[in-house]
Amino acid sequence: MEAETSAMAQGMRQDEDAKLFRLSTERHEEADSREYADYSYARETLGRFLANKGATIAVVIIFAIVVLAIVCPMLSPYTYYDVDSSQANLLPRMPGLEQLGIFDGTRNGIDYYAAQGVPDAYHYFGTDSLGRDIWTRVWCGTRISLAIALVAVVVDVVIGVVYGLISGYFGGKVDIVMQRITEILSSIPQLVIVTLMIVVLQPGLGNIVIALFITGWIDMSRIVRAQVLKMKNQEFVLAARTLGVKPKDIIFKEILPNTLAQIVVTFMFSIPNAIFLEAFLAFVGLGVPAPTASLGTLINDGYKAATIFPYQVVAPVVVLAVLMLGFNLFGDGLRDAIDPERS
Amino acid sequence: MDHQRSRIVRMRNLRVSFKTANGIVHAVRGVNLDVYRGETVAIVGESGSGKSVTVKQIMGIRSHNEIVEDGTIEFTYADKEGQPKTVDLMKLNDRELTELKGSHIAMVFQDPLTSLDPTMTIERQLAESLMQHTVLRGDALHARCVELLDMVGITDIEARLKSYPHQLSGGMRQRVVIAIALSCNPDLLICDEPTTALDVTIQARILELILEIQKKLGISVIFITHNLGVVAKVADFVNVMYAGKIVEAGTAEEVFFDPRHPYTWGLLSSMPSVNADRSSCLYTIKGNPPNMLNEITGDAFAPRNPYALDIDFVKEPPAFPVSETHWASTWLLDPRAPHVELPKQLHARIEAMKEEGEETEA
Amino acid sequence: MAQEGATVQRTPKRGRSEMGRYIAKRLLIALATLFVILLVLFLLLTLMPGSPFNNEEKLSPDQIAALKAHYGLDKPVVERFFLYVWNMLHGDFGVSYSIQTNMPISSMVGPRIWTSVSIGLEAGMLGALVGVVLGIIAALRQRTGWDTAATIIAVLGVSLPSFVFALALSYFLGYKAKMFPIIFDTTHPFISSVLPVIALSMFTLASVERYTRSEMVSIMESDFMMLAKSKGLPKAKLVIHHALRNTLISVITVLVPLLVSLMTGSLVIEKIFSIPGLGSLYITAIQSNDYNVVLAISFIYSVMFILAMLLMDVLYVVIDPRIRIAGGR
Repeated sequence: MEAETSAMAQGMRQDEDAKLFRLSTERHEEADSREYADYSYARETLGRFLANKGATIAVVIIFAIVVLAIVCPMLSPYTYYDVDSSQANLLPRMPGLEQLGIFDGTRNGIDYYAAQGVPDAYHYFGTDSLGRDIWTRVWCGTRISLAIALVAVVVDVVIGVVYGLISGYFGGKVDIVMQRITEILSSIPQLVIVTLMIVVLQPGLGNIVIALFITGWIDMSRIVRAQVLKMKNQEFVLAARTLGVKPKDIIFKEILPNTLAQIVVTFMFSIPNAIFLEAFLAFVGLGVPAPTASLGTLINDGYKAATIFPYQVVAPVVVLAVLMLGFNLFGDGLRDAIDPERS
Repeated sequence: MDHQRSRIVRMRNLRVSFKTANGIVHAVRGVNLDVYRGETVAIVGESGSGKSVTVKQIMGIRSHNEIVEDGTIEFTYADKEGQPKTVDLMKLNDRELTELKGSHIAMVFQDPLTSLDPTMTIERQLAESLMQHTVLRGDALHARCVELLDMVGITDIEARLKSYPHQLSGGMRQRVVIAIALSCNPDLLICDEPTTALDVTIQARILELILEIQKKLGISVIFITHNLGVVAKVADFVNVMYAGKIVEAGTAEEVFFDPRHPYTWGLLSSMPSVNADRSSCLYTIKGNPPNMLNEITGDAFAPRNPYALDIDFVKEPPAFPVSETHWASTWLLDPRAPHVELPKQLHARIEAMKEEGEETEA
Repeated sequence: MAQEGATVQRTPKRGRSEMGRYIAKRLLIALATLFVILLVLFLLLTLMPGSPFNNEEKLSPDQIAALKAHYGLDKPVVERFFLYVWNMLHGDFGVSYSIQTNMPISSMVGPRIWTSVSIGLEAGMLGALVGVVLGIIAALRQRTGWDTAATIIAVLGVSLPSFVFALALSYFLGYKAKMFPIIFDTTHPFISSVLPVIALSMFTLASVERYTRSEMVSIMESDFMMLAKSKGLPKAKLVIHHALRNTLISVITVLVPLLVSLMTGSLVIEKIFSIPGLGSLYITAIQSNDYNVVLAISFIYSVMFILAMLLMDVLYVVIDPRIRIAGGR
């Protein structure tokens, strides 16, 4: 019985199949259209970036810090410059957490707030030796550090990109001269130049920015120039030239968009470099003058008492570290997303 | 080929996939391959057909996102005592496979400019393999190196031995790579598009070299290429590969003079010919190879096949035998299929080739 | 069989003199650059506001003029510059005005150079060695726990400035655990340089580790590694003879720019650990406007930097046979 049915089934199948043995006349277009998946460069890059957990978290944290830097000083009852010696060197005290026994303004049983006659004051990060609230100063400092870094890097990018574009595109004597200049400038460590400039110009917010951007554009110009050289001889540029497109337009409309990826990545990495340089200057005594605070000056002020009052230096150090780490991770993530598997 | 044919490689049902960010790519979808002692087997196919991935399995070369789903590769060789031994290469562990590499199976790669270590002299790279698999040392080792370079046609040998790879031209580097591959007298030599990266004139010489050596040493060669002209020159057996499967296989004469698969027809038709009539168009196979990310129903070549049957889009064709050594995987060979004539141009071309062949022999 | 068109380059013997010429050329360029740097630095400092003399407010204009004449500051800039260069070539860097009045700078700076350089070199070597080892481990154990750990160390080391490490180490290991001194003591130079050297080495360690890892990974996946593997060589030989050689060659080229970071780091480290080195003198000089000292030390830093770059160029040529035999770039 079963053998019969299977034979019949086979026979039936063979009949059906026989119908299929005809030269196909249909167009079968769906088969063709499946061949090309829908890839969008932007979407792929974004996808790769978000898959990088470290980088995504970094972006979130940077964003959080920026928000805190903007908002916290506005909400704080203290300012960054008010000096009040009665509230000097108070330990951190936060409402809520003090119930748990940490951050309650006491150490070894001594309640510093009560001892100095201000039992109702709350300083989240404590106060420094002049009685200034550290919480407010840290966030104001972050504002300043970020602002300095951003302005310096933006100017650097503009100068660097233009310099690199011109040097790379026009080549020849122009390139040689421009490159000699950068070679000499980069032979002096950036640190030395920045330090000397501050010494000459005197410490000040604006001067620090100037010193930073005067030296920082070199890296960017090198990278842009390398990219331009790579692209200059590619066919699409050649095509544009034969069509009579003006050099200015070729530079800005053909070459520049293709170098944007590298520019953005370098931009991301320049920020922590600028933040660090500013902090470094502060540490050697050339930072923004008091009472303005930057993360660097806070660290400089706080480190002297680090062994007795570690909290004075911990808060700005942590914020600085997190910022630098965040931007580095962000830059790494960007670079990997834009240009994966470079090997 | 009346002598006793002894098989040295028997590959069955090889299936390999790659995990990519966009999904799983089925690169090899069930390949069967046989290689006999002393013969050259060519694997022809477009880029992306899976030919490289297939033979790299023999050497155990895999990338980190590669998944071997199925397959056996039986390799027969004579062990240290001279006894014949057959092993399944896919089941060997690292150490066992490493012992076979260099001494029994060797490979020549595509790009001679990047195949050699730039920081080591030629002699050292040549000697490495010998030191690993033989007991040659000192003067004997040096003499063997000289012998090898001479065999591959390099002159000024002493100077070359002391040179670094960047001091040699592409063709010479490829000869060195061949010398390295042959240094321990392997049973099987795998050539992965060895001439693709070279100038046309050098290509011919390298091919001649490989042929010569093969005849002299009696080794088996697997030759991968996308160039049918090369195939005609070197191969005893031809396997035509498309979309991860072999679609037609047979002796060189059978595949060139009596092709049965429409893809093979397409390949043969699209070879430019010096004798072609100027008014005739250059034939191309329309469309593009399939995207291997997608599952393939039926015959993979069907969308581009001007002779496709309805069933080609439904069921995959099995291998239909044409002769003892010749088979093709196309529904056109099924008794139920309508009779399809060879395209006229191709027919004419094949006739011309046959005449030429007869003339040369005469 | 006919020989192919060989493009064999010059034999090694001629290559050596090519290399000699190459080095000589680089040396000349270095010297020229140094000259220009000195000029730039000198000019920058003549613009320095403020006076180098202590208590200037208390001096009368005549006294100031007399002081200036005494130190030769009233001569025109160009003359002063060439005088300075002339003196410098004789080892005379002038005298300090405010830190230790009339003390020859060369004797102020001399002993400090050794302290700073030795700590810097120790940090550099520690960082490079540990970095290479970690990088190799990470490359060979790709995508495993080792790799992740190494990446974390690398990211932290590269992002966090050296004073973070210095402060952390000095607080936890120095102050709390009392394992190492937190202030540099010249009577026990070795033990008291442990913490500063570790802190200073972190950036180098992290950068070298990252670079080694990525170079090694790319080399392990290269064509010539594939060929070497196909020869049937055991893994150990593959790694040591092929992968490592090629990797180390590339790593050396990264080492020199890192020397710069050692310089920047050392300034901060010297301050935190109170090390009597070049950096702390530099900071003091800046804060007291002692411009001869500032000029001298800035110049010394530039010289070190350029020497390092020269060294890198030479090393690169010597080690990479491709360049050595082709006779330099």
